Amino acid sequence: MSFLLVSLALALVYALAALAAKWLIESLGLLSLAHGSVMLCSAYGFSLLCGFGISPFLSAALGIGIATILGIILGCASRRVISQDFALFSFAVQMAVIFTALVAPGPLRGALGLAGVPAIPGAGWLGRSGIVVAVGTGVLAVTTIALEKVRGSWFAAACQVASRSDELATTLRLKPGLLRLQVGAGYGVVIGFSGVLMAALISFVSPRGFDIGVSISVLAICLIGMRIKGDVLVGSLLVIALPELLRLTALGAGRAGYVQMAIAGAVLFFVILATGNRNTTRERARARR
Amino acid sequence: VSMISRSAGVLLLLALTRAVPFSLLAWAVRAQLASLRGFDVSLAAAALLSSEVFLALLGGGRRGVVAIVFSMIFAMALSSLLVATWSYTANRRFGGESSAGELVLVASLGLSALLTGTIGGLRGGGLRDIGESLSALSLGDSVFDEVVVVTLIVGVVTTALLVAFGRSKAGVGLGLLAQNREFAEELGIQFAKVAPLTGAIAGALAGAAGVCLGAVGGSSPEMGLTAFLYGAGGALVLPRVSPNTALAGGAAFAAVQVILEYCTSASTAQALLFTLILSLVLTRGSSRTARGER
Repeated sequence: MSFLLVSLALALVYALAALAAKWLIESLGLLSLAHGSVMLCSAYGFSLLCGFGISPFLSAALGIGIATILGIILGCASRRVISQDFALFSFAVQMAVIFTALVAPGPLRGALGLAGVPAIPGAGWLGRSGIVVAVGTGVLAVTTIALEKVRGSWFAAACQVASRSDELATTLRLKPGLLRLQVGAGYGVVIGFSGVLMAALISFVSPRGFDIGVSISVLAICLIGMRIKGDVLVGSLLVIALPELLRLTALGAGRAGYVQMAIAGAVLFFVILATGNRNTTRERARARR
Repeated sequence: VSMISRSAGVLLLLALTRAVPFSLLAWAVRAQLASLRGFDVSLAAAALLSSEVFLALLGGGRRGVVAIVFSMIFAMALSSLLVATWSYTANRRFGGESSAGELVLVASLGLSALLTGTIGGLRGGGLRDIGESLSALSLGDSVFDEVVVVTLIVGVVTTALLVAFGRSKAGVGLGLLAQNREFAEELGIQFAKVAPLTGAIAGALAGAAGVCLGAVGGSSPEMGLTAFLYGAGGALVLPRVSPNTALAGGAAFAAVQVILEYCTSASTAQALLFTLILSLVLTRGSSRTARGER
């Protein structure tokens, strides 16, 4: 029962991260591979500050703040690099952050990581994973509703214009730089939250726990949510919770992680191959009619 | 003087062991970029597959030069087949799409993750290396086994072959595709035929690079993705013109890595190299704003 609860909590954490990734794709058309590194920033920020004796709430807020800064950097970088070049850029960001964390001296403890991360306060009888499920569900619901509201607003339309042409956006008296900054900040806050929840759930953070496999899993969940009928939670249960069950078998924890990566990779590969560019397909169908 | 010459020799050999795979990967990345219009991460899968197959074949005790060369050719053929099949599929599926580049990148990333996860699931994580070899070549305080030497020879031969390919009809076609796609189209160069052929050659080169990297530093499931990023970095050092210029870019990138590793630790050098890659991508820029287009 406890194992199922941990799997569910993990699925919720990834679903929240996938929601942030979806927001980045839908608003500015940015395909990022740096989700793991942004999560790492908030998780490390939270764990480190808690270790210094700072209140968990303040630590969480500061951790999310660090992730927001990286989110803003990514958002602003999209003014120079777009499309697949942005994906390659974010891939390099992911690897650079992970390897910097691996060699980071002092309190960050390099590859050893940080152990003994406290649970979310007020866990009580719910326990470490129970409170993550409760908080995660709440945050996921609020974020989903907020993003739905934003999707139909002028802000989403302005972002669409800015993603196509900065010049057109400026002509329409929009501020493309500010829009990208806001999108990046929103992305950073949501994914930062998932990083903090992850640290509070597993009570141990290390650079290897946020490697490129995490980014690929988040992208796969996001893709399921966007291309196939369903939501990010369905994708998260398939890509994250299902492989977690393999840990119950003789398969070791390390190998289960690789199975998770293989499933995420298969989802990316086959879904993209099967659906292609849905917008282009729609345009073609419209042209035929 | 003796110590300096020894250090220089070791550094030169170290640079060579990096320059060959990085140059080959950079060429492969640039060629696939010209052919499929996207960064093809399936090259990571090809490098990983060939490296693992090469090490697995040599793990059975067959250690002559013939066995080494046979293992290398077999591994390269497998990776060539993988990338050629993928290139054919990608060209048929995404050929006419407006966002072909992104689709190629995401789908090939999925393919690479699928292979990485499968290999990791089958054999577990961690580094697997060549183990003990029959004879060793001493140079200064460092010892290089004959596998490394044979790998380097094959790397040099592959580079020579590449130069020959660049001067052939197919090579010129690929060069035209890289420089001006519309012009190449008007000249009658057929993408449907170029994509699998380029894929086969790029896959073989990525395989050769994987073999070199596996023989020198061992192989881990994550090795493919890291190698791909190095290849992309090498391809981006010089402006995007022709795949052959990427060879020089890869060599320059390898030289930077060796210097960084000499001055700092291996992990610090990797972190600095990835920062260099992201700086390169950011400096080049690809948006209309960055290019100053109106």
